[in-house]
Amino acid sequence: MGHDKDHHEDEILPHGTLTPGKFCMWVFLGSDAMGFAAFISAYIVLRMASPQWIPDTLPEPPVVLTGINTFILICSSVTMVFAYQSICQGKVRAMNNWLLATLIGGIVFLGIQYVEWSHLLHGMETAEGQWYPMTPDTGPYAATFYACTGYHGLHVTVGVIYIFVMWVRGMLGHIQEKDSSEIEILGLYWHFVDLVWIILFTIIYLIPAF
Amino acid sequence: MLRRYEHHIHEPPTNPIWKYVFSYDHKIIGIQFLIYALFFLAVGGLLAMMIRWQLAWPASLPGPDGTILGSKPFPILGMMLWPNSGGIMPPDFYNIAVTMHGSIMVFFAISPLLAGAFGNFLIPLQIGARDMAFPFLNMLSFWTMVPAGILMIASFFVEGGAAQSGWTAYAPLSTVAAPGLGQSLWLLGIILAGVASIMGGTNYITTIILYRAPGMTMMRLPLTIWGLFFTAVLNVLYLPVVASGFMMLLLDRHLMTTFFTTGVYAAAEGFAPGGQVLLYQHIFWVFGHPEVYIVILPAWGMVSDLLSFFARKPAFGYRETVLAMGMICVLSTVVWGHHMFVSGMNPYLGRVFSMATFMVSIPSAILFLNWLGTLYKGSIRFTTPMLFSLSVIFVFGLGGLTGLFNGSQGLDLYLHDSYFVVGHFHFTMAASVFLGGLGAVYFWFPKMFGRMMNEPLGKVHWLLTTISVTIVFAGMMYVGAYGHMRRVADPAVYQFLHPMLKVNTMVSMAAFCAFFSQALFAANLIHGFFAGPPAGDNPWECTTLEWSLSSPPKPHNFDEIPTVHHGPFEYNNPEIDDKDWLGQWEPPIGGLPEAPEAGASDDAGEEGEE
Amino acid sequence: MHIFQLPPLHSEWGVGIDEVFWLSTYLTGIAFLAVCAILFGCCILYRERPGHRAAYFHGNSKLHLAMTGALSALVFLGLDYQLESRGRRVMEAYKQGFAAAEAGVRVQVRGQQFKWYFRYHGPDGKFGTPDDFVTTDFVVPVDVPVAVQIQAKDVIHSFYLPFQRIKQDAVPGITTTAWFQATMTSPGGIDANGEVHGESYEVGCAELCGSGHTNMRNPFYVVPMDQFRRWNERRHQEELEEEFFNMGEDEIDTDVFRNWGWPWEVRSQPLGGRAPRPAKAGEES
Repeated sequence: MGHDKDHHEDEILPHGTLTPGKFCMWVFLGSDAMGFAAFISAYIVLRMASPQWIPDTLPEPPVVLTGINTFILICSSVTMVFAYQSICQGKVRAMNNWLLATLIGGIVFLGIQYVEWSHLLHGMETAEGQWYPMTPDTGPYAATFYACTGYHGLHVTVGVIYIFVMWVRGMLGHIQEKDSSEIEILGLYWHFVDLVWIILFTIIYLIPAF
Repeated sequence: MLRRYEHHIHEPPTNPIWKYVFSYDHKIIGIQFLIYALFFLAVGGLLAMMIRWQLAWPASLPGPDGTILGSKPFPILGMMLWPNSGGIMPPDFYNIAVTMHGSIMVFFAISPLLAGAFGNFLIPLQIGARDMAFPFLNMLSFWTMVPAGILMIASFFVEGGAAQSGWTAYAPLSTVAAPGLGQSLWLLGIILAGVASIMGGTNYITTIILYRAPGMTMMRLPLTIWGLFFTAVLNVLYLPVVASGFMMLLLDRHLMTTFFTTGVYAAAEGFAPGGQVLLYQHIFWVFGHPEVYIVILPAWGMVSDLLSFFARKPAFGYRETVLAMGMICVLSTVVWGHHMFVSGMNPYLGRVFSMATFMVSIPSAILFLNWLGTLYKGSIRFTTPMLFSLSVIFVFGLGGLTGLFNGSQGLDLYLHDSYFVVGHFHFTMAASVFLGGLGAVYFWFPKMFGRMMNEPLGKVHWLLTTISVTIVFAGMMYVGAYGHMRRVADPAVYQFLHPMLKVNTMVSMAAFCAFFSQALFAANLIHGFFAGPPAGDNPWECTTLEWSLSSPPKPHNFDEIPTVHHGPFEYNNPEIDDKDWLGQWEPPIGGLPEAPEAGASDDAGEEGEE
Repeated sequence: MHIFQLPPLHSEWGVGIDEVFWLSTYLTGIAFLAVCAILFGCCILYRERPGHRAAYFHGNSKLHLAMTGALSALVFLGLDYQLESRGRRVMEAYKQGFAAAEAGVRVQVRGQQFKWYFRYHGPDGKFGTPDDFVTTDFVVPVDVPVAVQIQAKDVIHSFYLPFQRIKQDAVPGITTTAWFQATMTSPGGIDANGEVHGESYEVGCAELCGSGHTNMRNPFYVVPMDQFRRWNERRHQEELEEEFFNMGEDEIDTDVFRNWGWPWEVRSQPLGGRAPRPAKAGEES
């Protein structure tokens, strides 16, 4: 308990100060991680117990397309860091631009995932020219794929809305240097979503490729 | 380094909608939760009465001459609900009653009563804050609980009736074998309640860590707050697990995914192979076992406090009590497998889970030692809250010790899914939490509404409730030891259970007594609210911060945030002569710079509990 | 006088269970009495009265810490260790006994809403062959170990023999096992024609399995070995004549009723292990 002094709205807190919002976000992220943990452990258990994980009739997950998507998401985390750095230095316009870049990154990620899902759901062209629709009821492989990526996609969607709100507020000039912790909280959430994606990408996309 | 925060004083809203309905004030939200919890307690209690009615007079109950007597119609409600059968409960509804009783009591009655109502009401008052860290989130938490409760109630009225696969909703039964909408509404309702609890939990943790008054170190918090803190931590960490599990269950139900659904019947219904039934049980019990402690930890905290307050003596071994509660939290997360000893789980896992389960008895024993140590050499005032707290020691003793039967792998082969288990967990989760909650209502009612409840009536209520509740659950353990399975609508079908039917009837009578003695409580609440004698600021002569305020407190609680100089348990300190207590807000005693517990370390390491 | 009443024990192995049960009762009973004695003693001795003032101590001294440690050790050694080790020994004896029990009588059990079905092998000693027969009466010989493999068709059931102290979930998708050795014959038995008659014991279902859960109860006959052989031969003969059991009209669904079973050698697949390839089309549909 550092200071017994009251916290005033207009006071610029030193960097790294644990504000209630930031603390709450950390607690929430711990909570959310447990939710993902349930999905991921379901994935691991079902996969370990399955004699043949990807049935012959279903396509493997598209590693290249999603690899690009992963790269985009990681880039959007980097732009988020720049947005935070800008507001810490009081550069509101730069922050707005970086937030916009992050926002675009998130939207592109969702777009590519939409394309991927619709391809899988409607079937993909294989070398033999066949179409195999991968609907959620075709077994644990499809079920876990859609559940894990879908639950993550939901988080990205929430994140995109969150970034959009903050970007609009930034454009209206409601975010100043003293509010840098708000961008930090946004960044915490976004980095978390990014981190979860790297885990999901590894276990869902990369491991089948071997 | 942690920094403390406090809210500014805001003008309270004057519009009654914002003042009483969508209020940001934690005290109003606490009272809303209290009303919510009491409503669902009544619904859950009514369902319990239906269950006991059915078990007292099951369909194939033999008479003295061997003829079958048959069921009796349920009084009053029976004819309204089941006119086709003359008021007799159909077996389907028995399963609904069992399921909804369990889930309503766990998620919509007991949790909102202790963590919801008292968590909201007490946390800011006892730590010296003007409100929760996020008042809006707090309001949202309650108003998320409301649609969740509506979904639960609504599910009774949809086609096919409410959920009927047990509060555990074990997978193939809750997926392929439950075609109605009721099960889906049930799942959505509990997911929503979980979201509400997560919102509440993050808020509680943030408030307790960052909004304490100056001098209110973690080791000066009342034990109630510690209990609520641990509950919030478990809530936040484990409710998302079950929410994810229930989402997968919903997907299985509506999109025919293959998470948990397998078997010949599922295949005939068009499910692809590959689902894992036991996976659901693991996911459910990873949450399910901490849930037991989620509901009981606040009760432990309150009981620890009340015992000290009314024994007029410092709580014995404060630090060990906190450590024991923390240790139980940690242990509770690694013992879930003891619910699955006979489920077909790998037996080698069973050994680990069994050992971990037995370890829970060590911190529990420390709790008992400290409770009894608090009473030792005290000067006990037998007020109604104190009597309830004492009976919690009694019933939790019964419940906790019978846990040792169920933790044993070998014995569980016989006792699993029997009424012995039902009796055991009702003693721990229901009786001790319910009695603790009632004690808390009697204790904090004056602070909530500024009026006292009637003491003699409260004592009669206590006596009737404690005795009847003990008979009910001890009777359940008795029939369970004889092999009575749980969730059977008609035990008389089984020849070997015939010696137990009389016991069943007796248990039911005691249950009716327990139910109807709550009328005394209701009368006392209503009378106290409208006509109780004014309470004054500190009717119980207690030391925690809420008693320094007016009853009920102002909307912003504290005009000036007090500086805390003592631990919460300064009773009969020999240094002071004029009274036998010293409030936490009072200045230090001359000559003594700080009370003995002041040496406690600061709070930097508290998140380690997670 | 006992606080609890256990049902009759007709199981050789169940003696261990009852021993652990009574040991648990006595040990926890002593602990509970101690708690109650202190609780009520304190309530009487330290009630508020004129001239009596509470002592002032926080329980933080070395003595109190030592008490906490001593109590923890006492609980660990006196309760936890005793009960856990006994329970584990019973469980280990049970798990190891299965292999020996396989030399006795083997039965495959399938739970479905809302009946148990029992599959006995024919003269070839193999399961999953056409000479198996399926009944709803569970008939076993006395004093011979009986090994049981359990599966469920639709939802989870729990195979429950109260007098044998056996409970084992029947789980869709995996095979679970149980065994027991009955020590007492049931009142009813097998008559000269090889048919069951008289009062039986009961097989119950202990896991909620739907609206008919309470009626999921099958007769359980424990008979002398010669009667068991007679019953077995009669059933086998009936099987050859393709006589079906006199069941309700809607229940005669030959596919559901008879066309199940698996080779005995397919072992239980605990969670996380590799499951066998999906069953062949004809085996289960």
